[in-house]
Amino acid sequence: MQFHQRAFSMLIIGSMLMAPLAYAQKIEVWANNRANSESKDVKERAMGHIVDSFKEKNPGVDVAVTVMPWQQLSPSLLRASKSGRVPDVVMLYSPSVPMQIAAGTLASLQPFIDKWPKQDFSDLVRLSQNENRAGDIFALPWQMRVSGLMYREDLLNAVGKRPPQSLDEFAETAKITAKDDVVGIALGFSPEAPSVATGWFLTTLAGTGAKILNEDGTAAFVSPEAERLVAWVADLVNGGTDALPLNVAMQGQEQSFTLFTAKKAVFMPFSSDRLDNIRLRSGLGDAIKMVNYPGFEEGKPAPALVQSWNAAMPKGTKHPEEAWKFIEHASSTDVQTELAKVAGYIPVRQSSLKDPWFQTPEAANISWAVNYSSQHPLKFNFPENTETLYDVWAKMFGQVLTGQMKPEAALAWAEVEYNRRTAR
Amino acid sequence: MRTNESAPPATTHRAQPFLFFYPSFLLVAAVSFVPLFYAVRQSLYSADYLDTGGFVGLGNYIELLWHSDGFSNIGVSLLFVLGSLALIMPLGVGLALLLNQPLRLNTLFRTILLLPWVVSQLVTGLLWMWLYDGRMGPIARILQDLGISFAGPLTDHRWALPSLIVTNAWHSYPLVMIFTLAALQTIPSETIEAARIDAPSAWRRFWHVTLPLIKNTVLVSLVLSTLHTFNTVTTILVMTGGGPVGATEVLALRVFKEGFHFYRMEIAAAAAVVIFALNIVFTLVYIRVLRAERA
Repeated sequence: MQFHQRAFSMLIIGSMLMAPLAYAQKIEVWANNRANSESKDVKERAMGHIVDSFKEKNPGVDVAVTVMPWQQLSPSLLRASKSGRVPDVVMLYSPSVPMQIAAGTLASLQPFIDKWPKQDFSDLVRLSQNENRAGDIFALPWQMRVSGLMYREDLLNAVGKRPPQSLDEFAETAKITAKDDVVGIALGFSPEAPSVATGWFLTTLAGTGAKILNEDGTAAFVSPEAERLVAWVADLVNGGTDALPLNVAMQGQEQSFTLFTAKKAVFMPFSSDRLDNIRLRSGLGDAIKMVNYPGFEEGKPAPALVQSWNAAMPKGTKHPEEAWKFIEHASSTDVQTELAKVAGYIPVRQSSLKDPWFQTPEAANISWAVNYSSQHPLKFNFPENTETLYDVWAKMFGQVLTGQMKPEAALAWAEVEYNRRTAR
Repeated sequence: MRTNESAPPATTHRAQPFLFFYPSFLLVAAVSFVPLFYAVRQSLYSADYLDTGGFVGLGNYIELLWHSDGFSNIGVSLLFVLGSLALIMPLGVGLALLLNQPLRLNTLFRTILLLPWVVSQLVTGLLWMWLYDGRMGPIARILQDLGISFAGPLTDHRWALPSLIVTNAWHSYPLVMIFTLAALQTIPSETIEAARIDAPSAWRRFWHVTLPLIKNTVLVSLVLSTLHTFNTVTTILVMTGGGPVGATEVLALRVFKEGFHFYRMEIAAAAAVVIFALNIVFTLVYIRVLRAERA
C-alpha cells in the first residue's frame, strides 16, 4: 500500500473514531411532532426551534426525537417503564400527567427545581396536574393553551349584545342570536370526545366554589351548584329554541368545531390554540373573538382551564443531567418568547411578556390568555384519570338531556359510578 | 437390484412435516396464544396500570358483567352483529348473483361494489358521520328542502345503533359478495343448463341448485363477517363513542376504552376473554351447522 493510501485510510478511520466524540451525549426525546425549523407545520417548526436552540447552547449534547401520535405517548411510556427502556425526556399532555405520577413512571423534577433562584420558579406557570399531593413537580409546561368562550362578534353586534358576563346573560344571548339555521352554542357532550364540554362544566362548577372531589379523591358531585349548572344546560336544550339543540348537545367536540367553523353557531367553548385555525378556515378572521367563561354572577368569570404540553423525565433515564437541561431549556424565557412569535404559543413564563412584541395586535389573543389564567386560576386537584371523570359526566349529561334522569338523580348516579370505577 | 440411496432415512421423513409446521406454529403462538394466555391470566388478577396485582378469581368478570353494564354491552354487541348480518348476507349474496350475470361493464360494477371494503374503518366512520349529520349532512339538507325534519340519527339513542348497523353493512358486504361470486363461478355450466330445464323458476333454481352448491362458501363468509363485526371498534368509536347513553357501547369498544382510556387493564382483559369466548361459540355453531348439512 502506498504512503498516501495508508494516510487516507488512517484519516477515514480516525474521523470515524472521533465522530461520536463530537457529541459526548445523546438524549432521546419522545414527542408528537418532528423537529424541523424549516417546516410549514407550526408544531414541527416549534419543536425544531426547541431542539436546534438547545443543541446550539449545549454543543456536547445531541438530541434524537422519536415521534409518535400524541395519544400513544402516555401508554407507550407505561409500557417502556415496564420494560425498563425509557427515553430521557417525554412530552406529555397535561391530563395524562397525574396518571403517570400515580403509576410511578416519572422522576421528580423537584431536586433540580430546588436549585433554581426563587424568581425563576415564581415566574413559571404552575399547573396542579404536574404535581403530586405533596407539591413535588414532575413535569414542566412548555406549551400552554387556555379554554375560553369563542364568539361571533358580528352576530352579537347585529342584535346589540355584548359578550356574556354571566350564565343567565349567556343563555339569553344564545336564545336571541340563534336563528336562520344558526345555533346559539356549539357544545357537545358525546362520550366520543367530551373533554371540551365536560372541561367547561368542570371549570364553571369549580368557579362556584362547589366541591367536586373529596380529599381522598372520591366524588362529591351532588351539590346545589352542580344541580343548577346541569339544569342550566338541560333548560337550554329543552327550551324550544335553537340555543343548544339536542342534536348538537349530543355530538362530539369535532362536530362542534365543524359547526362553528361553518358559521352555524354563535358561541363555542374551546381551546385557545385552535383560534387562529378557526379564524382562517371560517373566513371570518377577527370577527371571532375569545372571552373568559362566564360564571353564575356577573363580574365573576369561571376560572381558566389551562392545558399544556409538558416535558417530563421518566424514572430510569440514562442521562438525567442532560435531560433536565433540555426540560429547563424548553420552558426558558428565551424559548418561550420565540415560540410565541414563530408558533403563536402562549408563554409559560411571565418574563416572556416583557418583550415588546406582546404589545402588538398580533399578540392580543396571547395577552388575553395570560391575563385570564393568571387572574382567575383554576384551583382543582385533578384526579389520576381525567378521562374517567369526563366519561362519567358525559354519560350523566346524556341521561339528563334525553330525559331519562333528572339532574339531581343523574349527579347521584355519576357519583356512585365514578367512585366504583376509580376504586382500586 | 437398485437401491434408492438419495431417499432420506425414515426418521427424517417422519420429522419433515413437523419441521415445516413448527416455524409457523411458533409464530402463531407468539402473536396469538401468548397474548391470549396473558389476557386470561390478567382477567383473574387485579391490576394497577400495567402492574399485575393479587389473584381475584372471577372478581373482574363479576365487576364487568354485574356491576358495570357488561350484559348490556353484550346485548348491544349481539344486536349489532345480528342486525349487520341481516343486511350484509342478503346484500352480499344478491350482488354476487347479479355480478355473475353476463352484464355489460361487469368489471367496472365489480370494482365499484368492492370499494367500501377497501376504505378503512376510520374513513368509513367519518364519511357516514357526515352523511348522518343532522345540521351539516347532505341527507339533512335534502330532507329539509323537502320540508322534512331530520335531527340526525347518531344523536338519538333509538336510532344510533340502526345507523351504525347500516354503516357496518355498507363497509362489510363486499367480503360476502366476493366469496359468493367466486363460489358461483365454480358451478359447472352443465349444471346450470340442466337446472334451467328442470326448474324454470329462477327462485327455485337458486334455492334448490345454486344455494346448496355455494352454501359452504357462504357459511365461511358468514363466520368471517360475524367475527369482523363482533370485533369492530374504530367505526363506533369515531361515530358515537358508545353513546348516546350507552346505546352503541359494544363489548369490543368497552375493551378499548377500559384498556386505553381508563387503564383498567383487568376489566379490559375480562371483556376481551368474554369476546373471545363468544367468538368461539359463534364459530362452533356455524361449524356444527356446516357438518350437519354435510352429513
